[in-house]
Amino acid sequence: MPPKTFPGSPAVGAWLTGALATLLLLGGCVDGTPAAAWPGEGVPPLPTCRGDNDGVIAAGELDFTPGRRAPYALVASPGPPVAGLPEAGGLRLWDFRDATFDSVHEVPLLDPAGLWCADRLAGGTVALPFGPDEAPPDEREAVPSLLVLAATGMAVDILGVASVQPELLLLAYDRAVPFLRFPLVRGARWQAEVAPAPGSRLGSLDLAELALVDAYRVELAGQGRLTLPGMSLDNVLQLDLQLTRRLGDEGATWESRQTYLVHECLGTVALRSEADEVWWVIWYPQ
Amino acid sequence: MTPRDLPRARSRPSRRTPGALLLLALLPAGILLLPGPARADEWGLGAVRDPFATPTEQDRFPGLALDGYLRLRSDVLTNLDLDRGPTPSTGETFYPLPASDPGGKDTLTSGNLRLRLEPRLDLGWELSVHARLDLLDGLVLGSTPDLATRWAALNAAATRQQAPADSLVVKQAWGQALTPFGLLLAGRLGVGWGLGVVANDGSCLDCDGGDTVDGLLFAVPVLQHSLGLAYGLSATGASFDPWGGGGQAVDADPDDDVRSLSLSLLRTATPAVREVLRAGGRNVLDYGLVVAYRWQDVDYPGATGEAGLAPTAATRVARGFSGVLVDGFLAFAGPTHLLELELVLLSASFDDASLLAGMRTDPVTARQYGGVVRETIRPRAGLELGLELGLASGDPAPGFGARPRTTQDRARAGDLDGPQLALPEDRRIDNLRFSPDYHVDLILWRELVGTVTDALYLRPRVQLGPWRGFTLELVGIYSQAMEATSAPAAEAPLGFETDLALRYASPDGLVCGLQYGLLFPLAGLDNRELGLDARPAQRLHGLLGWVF
Repeated sequence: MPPKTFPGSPAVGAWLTGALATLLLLGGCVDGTPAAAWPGEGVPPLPTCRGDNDGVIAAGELDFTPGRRAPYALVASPGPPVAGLPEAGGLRLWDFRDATFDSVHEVPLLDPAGLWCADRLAGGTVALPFGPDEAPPDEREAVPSLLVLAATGMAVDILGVASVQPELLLLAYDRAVPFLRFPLVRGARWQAEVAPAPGSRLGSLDLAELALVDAYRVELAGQGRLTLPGMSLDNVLQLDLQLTRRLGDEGATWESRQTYLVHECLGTVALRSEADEVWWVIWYPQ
Repeated sequence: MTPRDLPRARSRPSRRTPGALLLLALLPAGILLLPGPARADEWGLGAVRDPFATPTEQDRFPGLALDGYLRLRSDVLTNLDLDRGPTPSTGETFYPLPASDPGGKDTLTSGNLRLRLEPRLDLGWELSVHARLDLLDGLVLGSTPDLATRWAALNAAATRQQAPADSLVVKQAWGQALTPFGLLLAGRLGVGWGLGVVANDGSCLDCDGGDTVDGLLFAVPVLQHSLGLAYGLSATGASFDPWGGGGQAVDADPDDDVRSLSLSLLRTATPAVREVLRAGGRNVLDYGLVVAYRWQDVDYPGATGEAGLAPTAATRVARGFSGVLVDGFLAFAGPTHLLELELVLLSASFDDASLLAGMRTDPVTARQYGGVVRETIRPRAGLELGLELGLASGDPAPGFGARPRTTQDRARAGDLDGPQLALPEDRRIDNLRFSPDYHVDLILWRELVGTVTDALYLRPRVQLGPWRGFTLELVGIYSQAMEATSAPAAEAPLGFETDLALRYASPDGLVCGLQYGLLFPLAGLDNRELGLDARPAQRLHGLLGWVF
């Protein structure tokens, strides 16, 4: 069955950006094991990356090779402010030392090559499974969709979304959306507006006829330190992603904001969506 | 059994062996290749290099002695996975299965080779230079077929073996000087102490590794004891060459060095003296105590080799490591008995255990202890009875922590191995690991776990012989985990193993041995998750050696 709320629900933005969060999370330069059946068991890997902790994330300091996987945990307590607390030197502090944690999810990076609509999302190098946020967890896993991206040497672009089950959902953008532009430096920002390419559909609904426009705005808004029980991480970058969805020139508009805290070796170590106002944190013991 | 324990019919090479003369013959040729006339340097060594200088007595006759062995080993390993399925974290069985039919076959066979050379260059009564060189070290027999010449890379057509690029491994190189004040050793030194429970130089004929350290030792005689002070550099981190190559490399930061100081007190008789005393009905008491302190202030994770990160302030980790090891041993030998004991205590702490630049962790500590006591009696000639009790402290984290993979962040219930550290709640590493070259069995600790750790074992043995060079030994080993939660099934009993060995050593250096081991696993090795009981494993281990 297709996701219940796509595309009309205001939550769709959170749904899509939630998958992006997973991408960054898994973009950590980690040595993973081949993914078992999603969301199967496996070895949460230790990083083998060579981040130099210089505050700038170069392309080689994140890795989006299919087969990698990582766990992340839901923060049950409120957690720190989105922008963190101010510290000396214009830096921020995101303090999770006293946080309480809930369920842990482990998500793999997949190879989109065998996807039923791989030809419509040509150039995709990595795919992320996800489900609509508002669906029950068991249902999300039962009908997962894939966010398909193209990770090149200097950028990561969003190509579109497709259901794992053939013919249910295909949203292929008319051009690639710049999601990451390396090197990632505090203060950098970029944006893009895209629309569904011909052939995009949800069941029998032709998405290209809806005059749907997605406007992405990305900004690296801050930098600082993230603390977790037992450890802390320096030079974490705060990446804000805003997605504005517009239905026709005069149609309704929905907005979604996500904040990612990105470490140059571990990838996304925390993320927070404006919609559900909860933090997710990587690297917490199960 | 170490190669030097074997009977020898021949005397050691004299100082005027053909080998020594050959070396002398080669030296001038090497010198003549020098680009210009040799000149005396600040050490006055130029004259030694000058081929036209009148050689001194010492130049003409540097004695060369050569110890070592050629060793071939073979194994037949049956059901070492114990038919108990995979472990949760790795998804792999305890031991690999044949690649072609992992569900059916359960027997692996393999053989390997090593040629060990331990030259000693005697420069006089007081001076000598030593080395340990391993050639084709651990080479799996048949592993390097030359496929370039026939039938387009078909293994079946291989008619010769390629020489591996790493055919020669230099493991030790050190000098010894007997001064009026004491004995000085310096270089890359082998490290062994006591029974070899923790510090083992890997000199036994069936050993694989061997501990070494770069440093120096100075020992002085005090009241019939040897008092030694040693300084070691275990790691210096990144280095650079100020001339971009060809020059003398320099350690990039002294603060990241891992250094150690040890003070030892030792009283031991030489093997010859010991035998004379025992033959005369006298008891011999050997003992020693070493206290070693190791420390490291800062670290640069990933700054290893040219491909590593440059050490900078941003990649620096405030390691704050310090550790103390206390190791004492005692050996009390009489005409018909031998009591041996070694006890080890280790305490260490890290201010920051991070392996990543930009990450900081809470402090991590280690409190480990263990030891071995064994009694050997010889009620009559040709019969030897022994009993050994060994203990290595455990850590309650799942798995044994013998050789955890660097890519595994933590161990899970049901694992055979894994890190004993799990931040943030578990910041202790309390399992003592014996040296992998301290062998107590053939299968459980040596092959499945990797070494004795988190363990309590009892090891009775009976040995017949030697008779015309033959000895027959029967050993039984009962093993259990010190911490039940470390065992895959969270139960302490691990297994009972019986090992039978037949060995032969000829007076002129030929040795061969055949060992058979049978492990009966107990409840601790079962697979609770899959409901599979562990089944017996077998190993046949053969060794053929030429010892010189």
